[in-house]
This record gives sequence, C-alpha cells and structure tokens, in this order.
Amino acid sequence: MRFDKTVIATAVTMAFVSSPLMAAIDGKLSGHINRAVMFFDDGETSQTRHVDNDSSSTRVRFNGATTVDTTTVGINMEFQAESNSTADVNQDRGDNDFEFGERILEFTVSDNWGKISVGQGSTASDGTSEKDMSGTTLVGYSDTNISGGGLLFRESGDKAEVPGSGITVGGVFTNMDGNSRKDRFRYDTPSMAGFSLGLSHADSGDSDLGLHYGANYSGMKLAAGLGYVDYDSGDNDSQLAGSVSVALDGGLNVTAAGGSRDAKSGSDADFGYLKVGYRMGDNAFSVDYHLSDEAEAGHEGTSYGVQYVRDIKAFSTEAYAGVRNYELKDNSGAANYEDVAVALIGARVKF
Amino acid sequence: MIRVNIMERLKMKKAGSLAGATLLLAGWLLVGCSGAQPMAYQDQNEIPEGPGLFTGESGEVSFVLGDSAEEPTSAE
Repeated sequence: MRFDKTVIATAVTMAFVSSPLMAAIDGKLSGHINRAVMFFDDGETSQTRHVDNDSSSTRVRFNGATTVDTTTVGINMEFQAESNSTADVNQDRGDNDFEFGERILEFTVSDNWGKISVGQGSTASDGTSEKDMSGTTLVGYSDTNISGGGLLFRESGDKAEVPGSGITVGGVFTNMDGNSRKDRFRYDTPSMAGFSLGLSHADSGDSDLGLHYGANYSGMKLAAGLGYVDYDSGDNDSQLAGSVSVALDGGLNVTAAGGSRDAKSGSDADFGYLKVGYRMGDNAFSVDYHLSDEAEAGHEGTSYGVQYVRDIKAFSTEAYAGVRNYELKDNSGAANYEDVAVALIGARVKF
Repeated sequence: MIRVNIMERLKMKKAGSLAGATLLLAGWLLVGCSGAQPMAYQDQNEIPEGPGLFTGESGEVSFVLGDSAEEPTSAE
C-alpha cells in the first residue's frame, strides 16, 4: 500500500515537472535526523538503547508550488525513516525494527476562499491538543508516550525479562490529538484575526472539525486549538479535546491540554496535561504532568517529567535531555504495577 | 449504591469536560476580539525553520523548475 502511494505521488510530481505548459514551480527539499540514547527502568530490569526520537522522527520532505494569479497549487511529500522508534522499543531487545513510512502525500489548492488539501496528511483536528510554545517539545509534550510508548508495565512480582502484563505505556497515555494524519479531504478557511477553522473527512469514514488560533499580544504570544472528531470506524463514538499555550516575552510559558472521548461501548476516556516552562536565550526548561484515565480500560496513568533543550544554531542542531516517570493504577485494585522511568539524551540535526 | 456512585462520577467528569471546553472556547473568543496581531503557529516538532547543516541560511535545497515566461514549443 505504501509503495503504491509512493509511486502515484512520484508520478504526479513528474507530471508537474515535465509539463511544458505550466508556470514555474518552486521546489524545496529539507529534513532532519533525530537520534537519542534512551535509558529505562521498569522496576525489575533496566536497559540502555539507541533510538529514533518519535517526538520528531527522522524525516525528509519535498514541497513544490506554483502560483497563477491568486491561485496556488502545491504538492507536499514527507517520509519518515525510524530505526528503533521510541514509540516502539520495548524490553525485548530482539524486537528492533526499521520503518520507512508516509507522513504526507498530498496536493493543495489555495486562494482567497481558503485551502483544500487532498491525500495523506493532517486532518483538520490534528495538532489541536499539541499547541506548545515551551521550546522543549522535542523531549516532552502532551503526547507523553512518545518517550517510551512501546515499554511494557510490569506487575509487582513479575521477574520475566519481558513483562507479561501486555499493557504498554502507549496504550495507557493519550492526548487525544484530533484524528491524526489520514487519507482525507480537508478544507480550511482563510485565517481571520488569528482564527482558522478546518473540517475534513477521512477514508475511515471519520469526520472532524479543528479550530486553530495564534496571536501576538503586547508582552506575550498565545496559541490554542480545539478539535472534535465524529468516529465512524473503530470502538469510539466521538472526541473533544484542545490545548492552550501562553509564552510571555520574559521567558515564562504555560501549556495546558485536556479532552474526553466517548466510546461506543465500555468506558469513556479523559486526559489532562499541564506544563510550566522557562526560555532563556537558546535554553529552554520545563516540567510537566499528565493524567490519562481509561485509555486502557480499567486503568489510570499518571506521568511527570523534566525537559531541557539547547538550540545550537551554529550547527543547526537542538540538543536535549529529559527524564520521565510513568505510573499505572488498576482502578479495580486487582493488580499493582511498577513505575517505568525513562531518560532520553539526544539531538535533532537539521540538514 | 456503588453503581450509583460510579455513574455520578462519570456524569461529573463529562460535565467537567464540557465546562472546561466551554471555558476554553469563551476565553479564546474573548482574547480573539481584543485586537491582537495574528500569528502563524509553528509546531516545534515539524522540520524546524532556519539554517540547515548543508543547506545554508534557507535550510532548504531550493530549485525552480520550468519558466513562467516560456512559451510552449510547437511541433514542426
């Protein structure tokens, strides 16, 4: 399936490039590599691993656009190449993997009336739970499971090398970030006073709305998002979630996110997230807290972490370090789990 | 009794979520009407803007394909 999409996208690109009738195309190629050393302890075993940081996975992007009068037609292609993603690595060292996958494969048409996007890419609600101006998102943001999403929680007394609970960090912690990236048709209104509204329909049958806001005030910046998803497929019925991030010119910043998801059957899920940070020149620090209830049926997860990012402009590099603790509680009290602690030290190098 | 308590808790959580979302929207609309300058939000986890290690100041390999002034060639 991925191969087919790649071939089609390449064919579309070549059709653009080879046409003698078209106006000039501005093409751009960019990307980055984001690698880290990961240390984790699940209460029984600890390991040091070498990973691709899923908060901003290693990727490459090609953009092209041409404008005639007021109409711009563009293409966007973006692929990620992750070897040992932090979202997948678990206690089984033999489970190493490499994944080359699609992120964006779309064409867009924009004019005074707004913008339509057709193909694989962000749905209208994607990003609404992840507004964050702390400067530390490389190593921690509302999607806290990116630091160790594949790791398995260990029941107290379980001495096996690979825990047998079957419950992963990624299954417990959610930030309900809209409908993610999908094969979709999307429409966005033009930005009005910092607001823009989008709606999209995905191949899965899901529909969603996303309201996005960004503005500069005297002494501060503010970004916010609110997303609603009406699910057609899967076990969920609907989801409402959003986020707000405020960054003062003095360096202090606060980010909050929250949301609720209604299931077609079984328990509904909720989450809340709070981060407080400080930026000082090229340095950014933050601490955060995440509560995620019933994303894993019958369980509640809490996580807290500390993040640091340093922007090294001379080398187009951002170095980072972070520590995070994940806790899991069985709401029935039938089982007790050990905490999972994860530390990440790495860098994102833009090429 | 326990079942009632659980149902009440669930209802309270839903009401809390709805209230939170309403407050968020209200605050958002309020600040949106206060004359602030629109800002394009940059997701920090996307490919960052600015210089690249090999791509220089622009951070991108840029090229132009085609020519807007070019006329289509006719067959001889």
